[in-house]
Amino acid sequence: MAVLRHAFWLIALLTLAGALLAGSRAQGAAQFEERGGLIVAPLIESATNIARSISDAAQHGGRVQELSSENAALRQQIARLEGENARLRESVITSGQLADLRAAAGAEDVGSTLAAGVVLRDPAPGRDVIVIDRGARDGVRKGQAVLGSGATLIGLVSSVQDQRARVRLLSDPQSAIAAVVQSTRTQTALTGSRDGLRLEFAPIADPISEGDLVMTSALIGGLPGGLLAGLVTEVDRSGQDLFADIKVEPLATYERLEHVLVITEPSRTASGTGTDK
Amino acid sequence: MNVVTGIVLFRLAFACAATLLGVGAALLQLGSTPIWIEQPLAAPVLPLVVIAGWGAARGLGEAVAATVLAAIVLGVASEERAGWFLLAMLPTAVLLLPATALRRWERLLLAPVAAALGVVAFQGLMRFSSGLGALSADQQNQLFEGATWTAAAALVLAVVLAAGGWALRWRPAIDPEAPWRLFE
Repeated sequence: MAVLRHAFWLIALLTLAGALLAGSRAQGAAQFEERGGLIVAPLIESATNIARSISDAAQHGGRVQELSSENAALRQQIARLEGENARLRESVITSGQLADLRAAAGAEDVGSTLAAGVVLRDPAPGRDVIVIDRGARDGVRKGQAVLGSGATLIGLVSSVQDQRARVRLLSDPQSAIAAVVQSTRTQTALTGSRDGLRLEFAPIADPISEGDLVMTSALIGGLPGGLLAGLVTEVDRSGQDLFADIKVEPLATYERLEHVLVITEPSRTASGTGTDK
Repeated sequence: MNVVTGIVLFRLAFACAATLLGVGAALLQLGSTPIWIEQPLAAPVLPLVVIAGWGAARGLGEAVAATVLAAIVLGVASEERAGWFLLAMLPTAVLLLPATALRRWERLLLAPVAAALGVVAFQGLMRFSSGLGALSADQQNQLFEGATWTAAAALVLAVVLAAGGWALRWRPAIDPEAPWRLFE
């Protein structure tokens, strides 16, 4: 009898799972999800705050406030210096090139930005997506670039609701943006994969080496050029392909994102695009 | 109040508690585990703790609503469909099937086993739904860590439930005139 009851519940759950999957394509499903998200988001935010307090208390004992502010200040300083350093190098390289290309790749001014808090990370293992607490009513639009610490690009806005928006991180397997290797000026595509970031279509003959910076390219579409995106960590030219196999490490720590900047209006000197694959 | 009504009400109360716990676990999964554990695969899957722990100690029936609502909470917060989350939680429930033929203490041992294997199946199905391939060596270690955490938590929950459920179990009053009581 107990086995039959257990089997009944299993069949009921299986049927419901099938119904949910089939119903996810229905017209009202997106609306239902959006409303559900609005209800769930504040609850998750509360859970996050509680967890953060417990985590801080456990890690730092009685010096929570002091250490947290010191840590935040140091992180900010490091990020600012990294960004400044890269920008300086970038401006030296671009000084000999055409004025419009220099303006596009320089990124001295990324345009108007909007600060946003990270509400949650997508719990599905295959998705590197975060949800931020700004949405259409704050001027967030699909395709806008999102910056992490040190003004490094961390991803693009992939969908927007009224008060929330999803940001697809560069490491997401569905992410792909136009990129340029700073030292060689090689135009490539920076894509996400399950092993991290990769540079696609970089000719095997180009002298790209470990430690080279990867930045956004302004040659195509609507992304501002010259935004830091990653650092080349491994170059493999041993294959028979025309293109090198290049691994890139992101400059921002994606696991601990708390606040981000959305570029709501890029500076007029830059243009480019980032697309989902 | 007769025995049947008492038992039904008692089970209903426990099912409500399981549902609250399941939803709470899903919220905690979304809000807290990214802060405590950096690698998502190394984090315990808290809704599976509830399914395995509760299902083993008190039967799957009481944890059904918790399973469904936890999957929906995760689904609305994710780009992935809620149906996939529910489907990925099913193997844990299937692994509890032998519990019906086991003695009480044996059922408690089944909870961590179902939870650990359930985590592997959960992550496997979710990765399949996202089109991801096999795990790297690092990721396998992380998954092992996540499964261990989940199993430990499920065992604790099952033991607490078995002890609490036994102490709080409904018994009909000795005095037929007296209202029914939990403690007697």
